[in-house]
Amino acid sequence: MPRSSRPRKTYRPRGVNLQAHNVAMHGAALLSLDDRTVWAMRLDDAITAVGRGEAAATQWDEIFAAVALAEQLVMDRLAADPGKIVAEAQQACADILHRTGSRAVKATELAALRALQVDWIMLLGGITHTQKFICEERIAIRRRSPQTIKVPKPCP
Amino acid sequence: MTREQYLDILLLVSTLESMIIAHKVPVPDHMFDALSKAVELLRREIINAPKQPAA
Repeated sequence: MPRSSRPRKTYRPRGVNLQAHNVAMHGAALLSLDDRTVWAMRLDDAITAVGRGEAAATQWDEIFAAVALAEQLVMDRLAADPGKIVAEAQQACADILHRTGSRAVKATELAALRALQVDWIMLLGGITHTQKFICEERIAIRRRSPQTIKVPKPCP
Repeated sequence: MTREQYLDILLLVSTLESMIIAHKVPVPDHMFDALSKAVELLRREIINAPKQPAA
């Protein structure tokens, strides 16, 4: 019997992940009450600090993350925003940060951020770990992708 | 009461406080102060307390 020059294939069965069903169940589960409460309280602290004019960069990060998550949930049609709460919160953030000379926050800006907080708490009560993870991944991709600037064509 | 029930109350009270600010609901000062104190108290008692180990 001629011997083949090709080496014999080695069969290496891959091990089965015994925790796969746990991961699947975790992904399909709603966010835990503990996590939601801690995130809500962090956002509460951040907005309170903004109201006092003492917000640090990490607290602004909390607010931006909440705004971005709410916006992504609306974009993914997992939530509706008929009251334009996300847009108003974004505008309030931009107005506060662009203001020079004073750290004071207007009542309408604080109200916009608080309205976002209320909606954000309710949104987190209805989404799963997988949905939150996918939203955060999409936010990260959007942040990495360069902005496409359309240069208008010159008039003939 | 269980920890989950306390957390539910904390989220509820905190949301109520934010709704009052967001929608500018006219609430007497002493009631709003009491609400804020309740949020702080619950936070100190529940969130900052270590979790009970599962039996």
